[in-house]
Amino acid sequence: MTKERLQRLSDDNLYELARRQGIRGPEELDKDELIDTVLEILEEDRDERRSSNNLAMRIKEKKYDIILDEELISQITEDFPLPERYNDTRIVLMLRDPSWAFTYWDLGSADFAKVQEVENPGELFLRVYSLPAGEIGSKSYSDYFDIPLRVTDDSWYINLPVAGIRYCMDLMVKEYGKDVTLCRSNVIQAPRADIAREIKEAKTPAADAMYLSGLFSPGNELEDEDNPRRIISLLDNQYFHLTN
Amino acid sequence: MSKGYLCLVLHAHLPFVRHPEYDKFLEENWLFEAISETYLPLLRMFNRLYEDHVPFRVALSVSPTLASMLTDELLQERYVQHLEKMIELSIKELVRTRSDLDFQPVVRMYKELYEANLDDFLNLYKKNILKGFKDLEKAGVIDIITTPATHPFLPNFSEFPQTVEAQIQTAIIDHGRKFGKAPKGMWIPEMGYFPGLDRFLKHNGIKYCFSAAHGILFSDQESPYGVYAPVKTGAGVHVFGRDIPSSRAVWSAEEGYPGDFVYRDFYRDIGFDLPIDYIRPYIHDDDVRICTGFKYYAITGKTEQKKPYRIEEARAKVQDHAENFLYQRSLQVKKLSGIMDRPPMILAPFDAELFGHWWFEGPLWLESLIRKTAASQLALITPEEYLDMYPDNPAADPTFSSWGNNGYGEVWIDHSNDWIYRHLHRAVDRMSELVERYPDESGLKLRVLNQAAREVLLSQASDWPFIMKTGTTVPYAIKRTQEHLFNFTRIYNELCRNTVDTEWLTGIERKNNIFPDIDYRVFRKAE
Repeated sequence: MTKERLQRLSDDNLYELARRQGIRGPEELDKDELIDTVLEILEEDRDERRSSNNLAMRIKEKKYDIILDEELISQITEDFPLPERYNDTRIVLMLRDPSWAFTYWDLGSADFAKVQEVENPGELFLRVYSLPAGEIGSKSYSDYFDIPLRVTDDSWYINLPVAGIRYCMDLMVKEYGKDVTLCRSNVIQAPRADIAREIKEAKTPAADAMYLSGLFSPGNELEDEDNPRRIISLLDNQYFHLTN
Repeated sequence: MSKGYLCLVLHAHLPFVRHPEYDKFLEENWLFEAISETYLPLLRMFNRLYEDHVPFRVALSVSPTLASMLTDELLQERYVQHLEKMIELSIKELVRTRSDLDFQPVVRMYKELYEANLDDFLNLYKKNILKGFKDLEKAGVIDIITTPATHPFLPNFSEFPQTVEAQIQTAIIDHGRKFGKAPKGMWIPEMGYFPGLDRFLKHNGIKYCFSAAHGILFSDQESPYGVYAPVKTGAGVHVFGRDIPSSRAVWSAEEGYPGDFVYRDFYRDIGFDLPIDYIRPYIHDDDVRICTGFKYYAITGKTEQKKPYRIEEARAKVQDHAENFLYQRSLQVKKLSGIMDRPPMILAPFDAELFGHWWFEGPLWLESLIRKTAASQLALITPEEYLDMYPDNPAADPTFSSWGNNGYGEVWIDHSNDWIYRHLHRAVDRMSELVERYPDESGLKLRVLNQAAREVLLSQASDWPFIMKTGTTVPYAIKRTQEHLFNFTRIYNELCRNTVDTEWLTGIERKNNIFPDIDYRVFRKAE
């Protein structure tokens, strides 16, 4: 958004934009002052978005970079409404990274009605199962934790407690004191997110090659090696030591 | 024998953006800028090397969406109009800057660039620049590979195997139609690998793909060469791992070459700098200022007081940076040679649009690197050539990984874009349901079903959630996702009611005309 463009906006549009940027009572500000504040916020927002991206993503962004934050601009004026619900009970679990999964669910009419009757917090919940390796049997579902939901929720981000194992979840509701499963998700396998310990500890040329591939120097153990994001971040950001 | 190999892979991709319903459409400029600054300069560069008998081999991935746009008559015509406009602007700029010794040479450079582009586009390639890439493949200097049909982030569809299969099959058929042969390799969008993907690739005749370094390094099986040789998955597909330092040198604006102060600044553009009355015919309607591509300043440093761009200084720096890149790779090879029993192969994969569009001097840097490599102890190689030499590679199955932020899927599953998946997944299931319900249709129903399949594929492009999270044209990305899902849902509902609005159908067929050979049965669920 350029200053020039903001100056050409009607007062109402400018106030609306300002409110969207979190400015309270924009009507009380002088127009020039308001424009400067909006520009500042947009600039900060842009910088923040850019800095959260790694190098590959920053390069990719440039392909689409032909205007400046024209958030009001979309040539397509037609609306394309999508269904709010698909009237079919199911839950899908998606792996986002070794530490987080995302889930969304939909409810058929009967289940939707059932859920609407929930009165107390915690009566609608997700039950997240940590599944062991190998065949999954009924006993596999004994290790779990619950996440209470609001009736209006239809998706959730789940912090996976342990990397390298499988997870699955049920969407459940309490009915007359009993836990009733509305639907069960697919199973996901969270990656280990680290180099295998036996490879890490080996003193072989193969282990050297692994390290030279961009991890970290042999013997230079990470302070917090159970944090996969930290490991990847190192992998991604360190300036390579190989040629030093 | 060379002491080591450097494998350059360029990935050329843009999402399908084609709006015949508008006289001029802002986001079509993504394509026009990429043709002007990246694809045509790369073609000229490759042809110069070929004519000079410089030995080189490069792999080039061309996404089916990009290939479709490059062969589309409407977009070809619009690109010619765009170029004519740019040439007109360059002439006006020559007059405006006639007494400015700093800017005159730069304006002249742009005029020459756009005139050369127009000449090549019309006369050499007859508006179809894919021909240029095909000729280079025939000449044996580039290997052209493909990527899934609309460039989805595949791990987010791993629970919907029928769409992974549909994306891969459609891409291969489209590649065959455009390039006359089956691709041997596939660029996995955003390097988004998930365990099991290799089975789909193998089943479709793909011999190799690429992954992020940690995809291979975190595998359960040890790869004795790290990422400096491919691994062979359980399904028999070879996966080459990305070398981190070589990409960092070229990607980083701060520590890498493109941030050098003498190179052209990407952000200062006369579309934003010049008075509105003057620049109005060359920006967007309603006085929305946009990048015109005319950028006259050097990066200079962290200052608003930019210095004028000096072409010769930038060209000299290109030579230094190519030399440095090669030197760093030679040191890498030397160190690796001590622990490997075969020459190491360094995989340097890049988005093609980095070269020229963002890093204006990028194509010249590549040219210089290729010339210098030819005179060094390293050799350029393509994955296919490497596999011919070394068909036996260590067994390992890469883990879930990508080259996105923090190495996994957080760019494509985020609070800004996660709402799309309930609709995208539902559309896949409904499309498979339609295949089951109408297994063998012809005539109008076949047209309807094929368009439904196109809309499902188009809705899955990774570009839309990427822009929703990071981009500057978020409303457009949202509309595009909604539009394809809406089109599909309308078809689905009409088929359920056994009615079809043929006028509307014809309209969206004309607009979203990608994959003319699609067969909706590609969404059939496996038995």
